[in-house]
Amino acid sequence: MCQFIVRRATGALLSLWIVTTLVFFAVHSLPGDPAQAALSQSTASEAVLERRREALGLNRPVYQQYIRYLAQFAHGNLGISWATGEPVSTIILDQAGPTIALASASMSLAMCGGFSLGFLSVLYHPKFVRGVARIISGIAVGLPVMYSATILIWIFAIGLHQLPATSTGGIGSLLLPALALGFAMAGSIAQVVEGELTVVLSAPYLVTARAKGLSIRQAVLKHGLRVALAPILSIGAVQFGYLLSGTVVTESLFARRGFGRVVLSAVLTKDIPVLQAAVVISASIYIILNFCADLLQSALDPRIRTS
Amino acid sequence: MEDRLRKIFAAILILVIVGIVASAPLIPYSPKSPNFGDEFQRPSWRHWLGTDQFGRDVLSRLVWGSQISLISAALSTVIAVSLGVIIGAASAGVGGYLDWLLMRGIDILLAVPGILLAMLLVATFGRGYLEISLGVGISLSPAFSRLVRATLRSIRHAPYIQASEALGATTTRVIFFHLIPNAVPQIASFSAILFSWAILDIAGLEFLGLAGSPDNVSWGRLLNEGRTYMLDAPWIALSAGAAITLTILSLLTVGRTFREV
Repeated sequence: MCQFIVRRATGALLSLWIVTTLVFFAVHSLPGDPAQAALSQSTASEAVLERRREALGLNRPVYQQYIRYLAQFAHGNLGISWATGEPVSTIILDQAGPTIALASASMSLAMCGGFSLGFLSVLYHPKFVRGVARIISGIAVGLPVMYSATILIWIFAIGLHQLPATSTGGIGSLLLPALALGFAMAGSIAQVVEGELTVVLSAPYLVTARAKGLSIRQAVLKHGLRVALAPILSIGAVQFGYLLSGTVVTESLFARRGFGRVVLSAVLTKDIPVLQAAVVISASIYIILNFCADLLQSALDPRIRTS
Repeated sequence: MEDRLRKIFAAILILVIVGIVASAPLIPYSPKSPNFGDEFQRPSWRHWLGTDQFGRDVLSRLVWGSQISLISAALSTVIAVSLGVIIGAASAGVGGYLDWLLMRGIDILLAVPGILLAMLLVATFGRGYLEISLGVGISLSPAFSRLVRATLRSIRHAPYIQASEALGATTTRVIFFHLIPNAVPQIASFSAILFSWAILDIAGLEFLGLAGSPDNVSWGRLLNEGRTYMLDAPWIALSAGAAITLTILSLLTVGRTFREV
């Protein structure tokens, strides 16, 4: 087990280093002068530009810039925003709270909804219950967040005057965005749960469990779920990428503060340091989540460790 | 019998999608020029899906917008499928060290959320549809390479391939004459699903105002514009969103049908 953890942790750290390196060189190979871009309309005189290059370290050789960049990243310094001149880490930390709240709320909703739909579509009689559950998860997979959010705002906020469509703070204002974002993810989780449960149902050990007198539901909950859970966990980690793109749309639709809004405004103002940091941060979160999912999986299903 | 029905259904869905794009030159109302006095008409026989804030026919705008949204999504699908087949076939066909290297690279690319990668490309290269198709295509290719590799690997050591290798076939020959032709149904199925993802991503970028200029009529932009008038004219946003969702659901169905062939 210890060896497994060390191996995976080394892999994760290596991936992190490669991602940061790739982002650095991708941004550096872009056409255009960052100092000029930083002073937006470049009406600044040559002397001012030169001082700016000096401050950003742009007149040094690339390998020195690269080492400086890695060292700064390791210390949590993500650079200076071109648009506002503030440190990028401050900008992102300021906006992290609302996004973490939205992400965890929608992920919990998605997990609950996805599991219930998945179970309903495999284990329950009468047959039409299973059919309805499959249709709901089928629609959820294809429904874009921007559309489900628009419909939710229309029904609840305009039609029923119940929940606030746009506001900050409070559980009420979190519910609609989390519902819109969670529903789409619930669909794909439900389909994975459904697939895994179908596989588990025909496994020999489940036949044994049934033969010793357990009902289907008991057998699945006691013996099957543990095995089926492993792939479902990794889907949860993969869904993170979807969650992030979802927050960009959801936050702008519901006029919420957050990481997604920062990314969107960085694209609009071409604020490359912020975008660069956003890519590195989300890749790091993805790598860390996958690492955790790997560990959990191997704890649940020891066969994974040896393969 | 049921299987045949599903194939016919899938064919009809594809025809409908192609038909919508092809019928864009035939629309009865101008998609762009305003008709003052006709604003916010409810859906009726004259305007099947009503009119918008400038009195323009919503259905005509939807059909017109399908061109730019669907064709650019198709272009990014072509890009992602080509990249994916090249990487996946090299990885599964050659195997060994190359396979390991390519798959570690794909793992790392998968860590960067596709939409962020596309947004980074938009910020640096501009908002033209060609750039966007390229960005979305590149961002979708890692996942597709993995699917292609998994499919090809499952048939890599099939008896007929071992037989042709015993007869002296080179790796290149195996890849082009045996592996890829035998995986066409699966690749087609994944491509349909990939197309739906591309539509979703491109509509998302349009919705956020990151694709094309405000002058472009596209599905994502129609949904975003309609959202402003949700209170007085919900039919604008509702029909734009329905167009996106129904196309995506059709493609997912088509993909599933192909896979079960």
